[in-house]
Amino acid sequence: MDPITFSIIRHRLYRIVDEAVITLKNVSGSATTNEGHDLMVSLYRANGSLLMGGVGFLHHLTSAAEACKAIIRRFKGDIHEGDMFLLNDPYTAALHTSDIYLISPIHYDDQLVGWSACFVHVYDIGAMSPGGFSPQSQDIYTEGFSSPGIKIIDRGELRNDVLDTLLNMVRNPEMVSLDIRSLIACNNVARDRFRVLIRKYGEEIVDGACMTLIDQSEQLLRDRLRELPNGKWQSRQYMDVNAEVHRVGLTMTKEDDHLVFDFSDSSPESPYSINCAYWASWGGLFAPLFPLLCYDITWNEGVIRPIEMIAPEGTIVNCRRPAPVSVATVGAIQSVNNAACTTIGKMLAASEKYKGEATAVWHANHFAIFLFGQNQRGGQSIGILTETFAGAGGARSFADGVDVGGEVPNPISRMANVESMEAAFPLRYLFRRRMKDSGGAGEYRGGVGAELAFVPHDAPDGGLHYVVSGKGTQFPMSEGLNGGYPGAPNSYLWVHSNEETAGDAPLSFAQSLESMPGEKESVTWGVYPIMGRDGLYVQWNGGGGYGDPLERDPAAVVADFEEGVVSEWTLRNVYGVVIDGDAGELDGPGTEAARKAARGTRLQREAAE
Amino acid sequence: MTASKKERRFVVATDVGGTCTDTVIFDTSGAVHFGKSLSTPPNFADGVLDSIAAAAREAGLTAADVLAGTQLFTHGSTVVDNTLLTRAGAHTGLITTEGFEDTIHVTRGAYGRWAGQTEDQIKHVVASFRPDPLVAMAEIAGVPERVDYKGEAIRDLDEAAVEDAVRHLVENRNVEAIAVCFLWSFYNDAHEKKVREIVSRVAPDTYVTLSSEIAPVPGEYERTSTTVINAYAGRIASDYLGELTRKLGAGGYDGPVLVMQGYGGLLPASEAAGRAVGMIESGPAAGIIGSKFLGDVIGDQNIIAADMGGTTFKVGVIEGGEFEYAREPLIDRFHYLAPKIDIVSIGAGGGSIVSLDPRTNVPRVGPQSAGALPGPVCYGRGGTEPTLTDVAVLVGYLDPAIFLSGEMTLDMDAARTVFTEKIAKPLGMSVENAAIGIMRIAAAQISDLIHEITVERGLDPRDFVLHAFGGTCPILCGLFGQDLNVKRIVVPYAAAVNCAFGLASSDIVHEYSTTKTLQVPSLANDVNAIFDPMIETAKAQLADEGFAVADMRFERAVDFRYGLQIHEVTTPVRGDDTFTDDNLESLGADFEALYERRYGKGSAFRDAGMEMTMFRLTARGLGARPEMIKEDLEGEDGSAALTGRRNIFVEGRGGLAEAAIYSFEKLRPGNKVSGPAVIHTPITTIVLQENQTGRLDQYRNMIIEFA
Amino acid sequence: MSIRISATLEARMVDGEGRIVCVSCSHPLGPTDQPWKPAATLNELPMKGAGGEVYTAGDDVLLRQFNCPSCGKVLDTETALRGDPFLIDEVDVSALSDS
Repeated sequence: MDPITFSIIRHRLYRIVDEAVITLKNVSGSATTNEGHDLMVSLYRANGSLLMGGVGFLHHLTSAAEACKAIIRRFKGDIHEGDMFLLNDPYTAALHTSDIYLISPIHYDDQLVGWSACFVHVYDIGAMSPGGFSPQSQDIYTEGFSSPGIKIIDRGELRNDVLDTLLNMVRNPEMVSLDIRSLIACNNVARDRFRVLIRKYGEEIVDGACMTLIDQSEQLLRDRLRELPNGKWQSRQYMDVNAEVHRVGLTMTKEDDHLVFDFSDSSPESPYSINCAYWASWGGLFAPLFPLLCYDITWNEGVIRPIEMIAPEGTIVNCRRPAPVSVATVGAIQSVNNAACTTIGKMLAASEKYKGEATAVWHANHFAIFLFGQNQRGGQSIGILTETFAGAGGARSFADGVDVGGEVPNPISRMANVESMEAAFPLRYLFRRRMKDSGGAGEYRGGVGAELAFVPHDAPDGGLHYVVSGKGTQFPMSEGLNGGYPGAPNSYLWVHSNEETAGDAPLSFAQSLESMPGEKESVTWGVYPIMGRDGLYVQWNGGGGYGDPLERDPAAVVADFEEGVVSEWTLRNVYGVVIDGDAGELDGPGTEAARKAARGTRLQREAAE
Repeated sequence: MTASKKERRFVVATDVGGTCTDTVIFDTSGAVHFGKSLSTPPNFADGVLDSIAAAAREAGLTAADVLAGTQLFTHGSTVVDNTLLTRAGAHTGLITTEGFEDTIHVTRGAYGRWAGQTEDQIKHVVASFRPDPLVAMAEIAGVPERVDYKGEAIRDLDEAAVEDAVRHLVENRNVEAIAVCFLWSFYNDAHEKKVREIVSRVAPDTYVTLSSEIAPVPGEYERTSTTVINAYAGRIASDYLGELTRKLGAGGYDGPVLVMQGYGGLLPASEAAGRAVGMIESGPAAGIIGSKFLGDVIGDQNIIAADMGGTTFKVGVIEGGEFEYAREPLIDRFHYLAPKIDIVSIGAGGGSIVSLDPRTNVPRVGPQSAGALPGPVCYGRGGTEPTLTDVAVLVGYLDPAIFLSGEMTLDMDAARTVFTEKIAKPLGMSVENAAIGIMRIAAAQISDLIHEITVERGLDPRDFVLHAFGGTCPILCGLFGQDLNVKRIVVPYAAAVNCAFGLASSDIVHEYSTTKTLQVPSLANDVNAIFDPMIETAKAQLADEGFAVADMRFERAVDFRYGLQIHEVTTPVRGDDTFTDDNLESLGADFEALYERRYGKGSAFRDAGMEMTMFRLTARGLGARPEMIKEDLEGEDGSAALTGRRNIFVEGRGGLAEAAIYSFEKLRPGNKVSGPAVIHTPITTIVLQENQTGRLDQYRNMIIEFA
Repeated sequence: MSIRISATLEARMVDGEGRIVCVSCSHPLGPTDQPWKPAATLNELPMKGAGGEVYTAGDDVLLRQFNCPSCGKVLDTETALRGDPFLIDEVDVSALSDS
């Protein structure tokens, strides 16, 4: 392959994906797509294998490849130029029903030359609860519209019968229609640009470049794996739903130039919708793998070849139809993300060359809170709390995690402004800020997590409802690395007002959870109201820490204390730092003595044996 | 002492860049004189005077002669950009709504971590950081107050708490500037105004910026960031402009000092001084205005203005004489909200280093640059990495003997040796083929970037004329211009001083806006009630600046969006009539057409209704335009300028082929040159590909048409 | 000759035998072909006490600290529900005996 043409085609393939992403965001004007970047666009080869993965929610890159392959199998002989297919069945390839894949074959001179696939989390999918996450569902049948593959555009003609059938089953069909149109526009752009590329360079050369690109990625990853030590690393993630504990257990084995992810130690499938199906786990392990091991390698089929996964059927990471899966993306899939991040981090930390690439777990627990109800303009609003896209970064071997810095599997997310939220929903924030003691202590600490609280404001119905799901608040999930502590667990509290005096009570401007009036009830799973003078308080976890907290630079601990992100208790008891009581200044000798004593206490413990 | 109006025959434009300060003196007789001197950070005003003196010498005058005879001084400066990039601003504190003290540090989550980063940096998540903030956490004070989404003050401002906060920041933390940003203050600025009163009472020397004045628009993170940037750089900007005005005055000039803004208009120095954020990237904005001015002269309304020098390729788009503002502007890696012409850039220039990926042997151009020092290998200043300029020598585009009119000779052998060793040999290619390949890669990258700001925004490059500025752009424009299929290419005669043309051809422009949400349909009178006071304010302002009503222009625009959507489209209002229900309805139709054009067919979403969210007024005081000297056209035959022939890379022939070599200075207006050809000018080199014809117009612009 | 196992552990030849040792103090934690965790001291903190009030986990949720029995440095941590087995990590250090 001529390296010049190859270089040009590679750059153009990347631009095609980028332009398609922009189209997607443009047409779908929704906050989830535009702020959360809860989307993905990628190009696939004629056989459905990943050619060029874009920067989006990364656990979709491989699942959409499987979706392309499922369409190829199902529609063999009936795939034509100008067709487009819809697929959102989790037991075929999708992650959960509300992440709809739209899949477009790309033809040139009547030959199938590739595929473009994309997804957004649609506004609604007709599950029991609005917004797609459906904690009350006990099976896939109540999780909304689901299709293992259906033709939505037939040779350039939109099949209104199909679209109308889908729209007939969802809340706010106008918004869902717009989501679908954004996916169509996105695929159109990707398809047209890909064809222009072929027209310019010829099918053979473009295909040659694509194959080279894939082979190159494979070679680069295999080379990197060979540089890393052989070994076996374990990690474990816990989830809690209504006091039932579920585990995702992982043993990652690296030998020579391949990696095996074995999830055999995971819990049986759950009656709750935190389960995920096979292809979702497969995507879930790649979401951290792409940025952690392939930050300088093109994300395509070549990266996938050296990887193997074992996920026994009937477990929470490979559930069987009709187990419910609507919460998968913030349930078992995220646990797979986290578990893989830990084992990859341990492997990197074992390498002299790559230790700088190791990271503790970032933002391990999405809090999928969907608000819904009548807004202050009299219309209906459904929407996610976009703060869930703003988790805290894990600590690195050379630096603290980034405070409220995002997550690894979705590199370019962001959260909405408070003013955007207050304009869209009838609510008022009391505060939104980094919190005290979000955990993740270490020589380098995890990024600080945050807390928010809001109350209804000008709500025509007196308030709103919300769907809350996820992995519960019993377990820390942002695991530390090399002796670092995990980030603290999340917390969601419904602060009940006193109904009798609600009407006359003064508006609350409480500045802390403690000062919010009312009884506090932890809510983690289900649909709840926030009415009258109720408040909702949400606290989200810090990133995992790196290294022994007793080795953290005492000045950095004092600085954190002064900024209010570490309490005096933690400063003293976790970091072993002593400050002068009055001036609050670092007591160097005192700290040294305290740390020595703390190490001494550790020595008095029993052997682990 | 001042000269009479009659003697004031000069318009002086000075553009301060990071390295050089350029001055152009326009004489009303039509003569134009250029001067260049080194910029003198941090005392940029000295460099301005040096540069004026240099231009005066070209005219056979002294700086004092020129300043005494100047009627107008226009100015663009990088002083604010420089303050931010070198972190040299004021020690700044922030007062904000209690409960939201972290807004600026948290940067809407990951947003501040990835914004402004390249694709490669974004993929490398573990290595990513936020930039160090401009305001330290310990210098942020939350105070009790609250305004709600309707603009209603639902919690009074705690004035005692404000006073304590100000005292603490100024006395204990030694803060020199205070930014104030409260939630929803763009609907109700009373609390922010009160803070200013308190600061001026208890700490009168402190520089204050209010968010409701500098950026009265929704979005507290971006608004806070803007306010902090302005407070951080404000004192330096205003001191600088004050000092410049004094120095010009001491030199004998007592007319207005007009300062370029990022949106491509001028403001009087007195007003610009309070709006430091407005000066960000004003140099490139002046370049776009210069291109627009040239377009007006030669009849181009749709222009892709591309500038490529040593390190960066920058491009902006003018459509129908108008340009778009950037949606999410950044300075360094900080967000700010201010109207700013959308200009995108990549690290590709003559100094861009050509390298091979050590793992895959795939060649790449940039993003590293050899800069001016050591520069390309062929400069012989110690450069050891091959650059795009070296490659241009190897493919015959540059003539080693007559680079920049022979001011410098290029070491072709050194370039060949290094390129062979580092690129051609490892690729297993001949030097010529490898060099040709590198030119193709560079052209393709530029082509992809221009595609991004045209096609991806609903514009078709085939409707546009490409203006090629800078030392490197005219070398490559024949390649990527053809690839993009632009209408034609213009290499402007005044390319080297284009920014100064922009400064001298700009109007005084004031931007006003009011944030208010009105549902569609709304009463025309409600809209008029928003615009009328803005127009009154603008009229008074322009009258104050000496403009007659006949020289005032008012352009209105309204931001629309569909319900439940986040994209807003600024929709220009046609004509000057006050609103009626009819023309308000047609404005809504214009919005829908614009929306579909920008966001794609099928994106319009009428079902959720439409709303107007912001009302904008652009008020212009028309400025004079410099005269361009127009020469008579002569015959088409340019053979008198032919200086020889040599082999160059010709894309249409797939390799090296013989080309005619011309001297630009010997070409006469009206002469035509057919590609493949190379035309050496004193400041750049123009390469015509096969089937391209260059014609020198009456202003000595090179107009390149495709066969 | 030593082979890195993690930021806190490495494998070394000690008296002709391959041993996993603490990087900080060289204290041996057993042969290279055995898990090292049983040789460490174990500090099983209820997660509730791991860093202030926000660690609200139930009483059975533990933070396990595996510490060097000689210098007291934390070698590794894991989150575990009481009774769950230790996580076992093994790095291939066969190159140690080859050398």
